[in-house]
Amino acid sequence: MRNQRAVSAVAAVLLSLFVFFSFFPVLIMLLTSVKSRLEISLGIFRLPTDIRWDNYGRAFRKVIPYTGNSLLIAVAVVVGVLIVSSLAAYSLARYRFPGREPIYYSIIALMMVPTVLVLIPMFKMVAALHLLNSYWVVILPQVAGGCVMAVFLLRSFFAGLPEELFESFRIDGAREGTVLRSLVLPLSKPILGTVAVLNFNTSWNDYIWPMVTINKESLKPIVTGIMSFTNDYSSDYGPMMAAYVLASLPLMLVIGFSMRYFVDGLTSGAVKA
Amino acid sequence: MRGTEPRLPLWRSVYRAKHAYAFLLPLIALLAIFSYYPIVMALKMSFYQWKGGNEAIFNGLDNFRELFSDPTFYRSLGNVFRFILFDCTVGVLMPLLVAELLFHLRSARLQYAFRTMFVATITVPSVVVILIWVFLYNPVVGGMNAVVSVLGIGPQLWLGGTSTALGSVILSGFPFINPIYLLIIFAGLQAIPGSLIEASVLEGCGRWRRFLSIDLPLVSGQLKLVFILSVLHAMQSFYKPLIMTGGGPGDATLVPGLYMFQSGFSRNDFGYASTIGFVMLIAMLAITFATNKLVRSEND
Repeated sequence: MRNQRAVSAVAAVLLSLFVFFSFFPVLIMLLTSVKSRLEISLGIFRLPTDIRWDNYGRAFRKVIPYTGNSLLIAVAVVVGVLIVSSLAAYSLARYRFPGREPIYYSIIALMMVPTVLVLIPMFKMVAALHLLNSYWVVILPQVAGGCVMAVFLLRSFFAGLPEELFESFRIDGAREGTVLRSLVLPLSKPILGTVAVLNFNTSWNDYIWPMVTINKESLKPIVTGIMSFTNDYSSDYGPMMAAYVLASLPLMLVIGFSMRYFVDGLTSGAVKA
Repeated sequence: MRGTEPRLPLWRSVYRAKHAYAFLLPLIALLAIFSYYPIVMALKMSFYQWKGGNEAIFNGLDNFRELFSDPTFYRSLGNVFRFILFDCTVGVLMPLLVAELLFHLRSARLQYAFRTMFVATITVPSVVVILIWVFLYNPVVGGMNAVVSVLGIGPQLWLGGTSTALGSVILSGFPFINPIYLLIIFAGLQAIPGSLIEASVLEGCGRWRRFLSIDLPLVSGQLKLVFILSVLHAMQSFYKPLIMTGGGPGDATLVPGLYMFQSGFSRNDFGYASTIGFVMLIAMLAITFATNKLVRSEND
């Protein structure tokens, strides 16, 4: 038994070390974000002697418009994915109809297709549709992409709901839309939460597609916006790092408050895979 | 008569399920426009000469011939091979190691706390993490030269040096613990029946032995998944070299995904870019298929 305790202690020490290294870039970011130019040039591992909060003031004004764009896009994507995928998953889970299996597999097969493959034809297409430099050009493909995984997760959850509940609803003569809205969705809150958080995260992190489709500064989401102000600051690392901190905050808050959905969802997806 | 069960004519069963189709319609429409159509176009355009604003002209296998005699493409393959090699070894072993360590913690609360902390790393946007690494690698202000000077290594150019750039990009993920892979493997370990582990303890089975004979075989499904995911990710992801080096210096950090991106968006050669995408798709399908076959036959 003592042996076990010792092993547990060693594991805890090693894990602490790994956590420290995992957060190392973040620590450097936080440390540098409150330093003056002079102190940064003295060495990035040193603790700051006088704390420069005004770095954040300078970064704040630049970051806010981009953050607004990212929030708007991410929320629209989450809402879109939830609506479209729960309709589709409900249909695939609870109805029997000709072509159901082929349709399901042709959706799931999209998980195998690398995103790089479609980058160029998709760009040519949205350019032809005059969608470049709009929120839609980012929102619509992200909704389409997010729905694939969401249908996979939601279908298996919806299919597991007990049939008796549905029968009692149908006996009352409820319409199809009502069954979905007042029976299925309320029972599926945890999995819907998982889908929402995963898609918020994906949307917030998307980089290459917004970079090629939006070059108007006022519409850029934060992740591509970061690039613009990284170039603006040139070598003024204090405000630059402060801007990175501010750019990370909304995502930290959203995932922080929904960590349970995030972890449970990823874990349950893993067990099924 | 075909069978004992009366079968509805197809159109009637389709009509009866009209709600089901209506519910599927928004998704099918979205996927048709933003997935199926671009995929078909990507495959088709690999066989076309399609440059700039010009009309696309069918040119058969010319793009493929050009690609397979293009030294830049081979250079990018060599580079991506190193990314893949690193990601499917260190990138799988590190999450496995951390999952094992978590599994050996006695306190469930501590386990949850550590797991949450590792997952919390995901809350920093990946582009921000890459930009911090770019800062760390800065030969003047970044701390990397200070770190290696402790080891007796002279100052390096890191991302700017022809011989150091690729290694610097690959190693920038330190300590290489992908939280998603960690969760997948940890979920597999937790699914191991407790009775099996108790039995192994009673049999006087050491930890190392238990790891090799119980843990490893029982999480082999999860490991296979993580392996495939990391190979596919290493193969297609190019935002790291794009942000850190732009593929340079020269083509020291160029990977096929980035080469495709540059062919399409910098040189406006969409046909050639589609061909690179086509070859990548085939390679990825082949790797997934081969891994599935290989690992399954080991289990039998």
